[in-house]
Amino acid sequence: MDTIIKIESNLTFEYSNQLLFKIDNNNLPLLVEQGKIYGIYGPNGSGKSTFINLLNGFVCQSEGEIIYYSQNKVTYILNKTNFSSLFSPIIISNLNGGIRRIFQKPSIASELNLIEALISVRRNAKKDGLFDFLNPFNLIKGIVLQSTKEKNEINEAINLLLEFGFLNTNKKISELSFGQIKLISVLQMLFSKASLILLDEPFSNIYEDTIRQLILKLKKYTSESQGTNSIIIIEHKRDYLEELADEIWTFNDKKIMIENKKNGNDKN
Amino acid sequence: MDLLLSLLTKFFIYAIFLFSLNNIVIGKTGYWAIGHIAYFAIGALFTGVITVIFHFTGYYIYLALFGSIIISIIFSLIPALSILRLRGDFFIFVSITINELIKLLVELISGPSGFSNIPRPPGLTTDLSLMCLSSIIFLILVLYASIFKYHNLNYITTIVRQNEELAKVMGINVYYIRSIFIILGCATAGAAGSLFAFYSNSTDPQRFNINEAVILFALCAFGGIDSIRGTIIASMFYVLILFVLESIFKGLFQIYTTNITSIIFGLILIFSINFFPQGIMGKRGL
Repeated sequence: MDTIIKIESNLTFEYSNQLLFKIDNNNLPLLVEQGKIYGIYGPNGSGKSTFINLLNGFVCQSEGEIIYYSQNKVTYILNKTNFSSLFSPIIISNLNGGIRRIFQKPSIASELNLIEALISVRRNAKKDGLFDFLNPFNLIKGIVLQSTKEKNEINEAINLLLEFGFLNTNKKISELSFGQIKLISVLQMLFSKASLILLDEPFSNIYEDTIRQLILKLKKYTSESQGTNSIIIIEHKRDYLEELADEIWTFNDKKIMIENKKNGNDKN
Repeated sequence: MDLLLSLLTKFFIYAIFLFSLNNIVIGKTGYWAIGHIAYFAIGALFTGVITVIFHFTGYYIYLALFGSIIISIIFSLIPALSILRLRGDFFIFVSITINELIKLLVELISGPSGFSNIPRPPGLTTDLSLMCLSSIIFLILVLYASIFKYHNLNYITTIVRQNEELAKVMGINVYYIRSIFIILGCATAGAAGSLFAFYSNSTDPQRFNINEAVILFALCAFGGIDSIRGTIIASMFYVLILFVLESIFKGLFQIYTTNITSIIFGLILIFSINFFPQGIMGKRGL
């Protein structure tokens, strides 16, 4: 299994000069590997969301490095010196097949409709260049011939939405309820095909049966992609975590510990 | 007939400017660039400098039109870079400050009453030809904007405008996208300013002060943010109102015209925010 992210064992995070967490794993680094689901578990205020923000480049650690790999090559090193609060999140979310996340409080641009909301996650970064949109031919192409790939994407999005009971796919995000928006933001992640998705309490405010459906989908997400996609998930309900995660990281007492719930043999 | 032609030319020039403010800068970046008229001023000032101070004649005067676009782009780097650190409301302050500074610059270079007798380049000497040029520029802009909504970049700008953090998480280079639209908007405004200098043959600094800036911003709110039809209606309305007021207060009370326009547009801003927050043609609130 290839490593996607290596979090060095000396990593600490301080919040206004007070230690929030450090890694306690017998001096071994924390590894995020391809095709695995990692659960994060711990009491409120133990730094779970901060940890996700850290992986995503929104905040910076006080010590240690986070190293991002793509096919065994280092693509980006996040440390104190090269961190910039403006650009680190942008760089990191574009690394190897894309790193996507959802926020605890769901946030989607409310003017988009459901299909656009899904498709915008899987966007191609090359397409937003200055000369691309100043070139009138590209604009005309956009209306006249929608490529088959885009049509397939739209059909895929519609199918996913129908599966979760969104019958009217032209609805605007602003017309949905809070729980539905939360569900859409989880569906965005499922649709994204990103190599790593970070889920910050994805199941809060969602109906139990839908959660079951989502858990199946999330398991499929890692297994279906020839084991290249991984998930990191924060969840307060132990049951869900035990069902989903290959490895649980416990945040407690200002330490991050690995609880190896399942090993390779159990999985088979 | 001459009057109609003159009004139409003015309408197209203001439509180009309002388009750059309403549909490009505010519409795509979501930042309220109240002092956007500064770039209009830069365009007009540069045209004045080229023709009156440096005495360019003949076809060389066309350099003013292209030059003012380039100078506007250079000056637009100030707000484009300032968005790295400042967001939302603070951008308004930067924008107003730029407007005031440019107005001082205009007064410094062109004197308190501005340049007068700016010559028009050959081929643009009549109002008809000027109207044709500005209408062509405006039609190209409208065509572009109406096709734009089918482009991939359309939802990217929506996401950037509505939720910056989300856009970053999706790997969108928020600053790049915003800077592009600010620079494009400023360049368009510069072109409009240059055309305006040709049209009115003068650069009156009073045309570029904060009053005028707020009036034009009010027009955007009135027409509807990021709506093409709103821009057209708002600029038509502006030109007509100015014409009516100027003909009412002709002669002795001419000085009241600007004050009364400010009052009228202030009231329009209040009413449109209260009663139609989306503007008359827009789909999106302020």
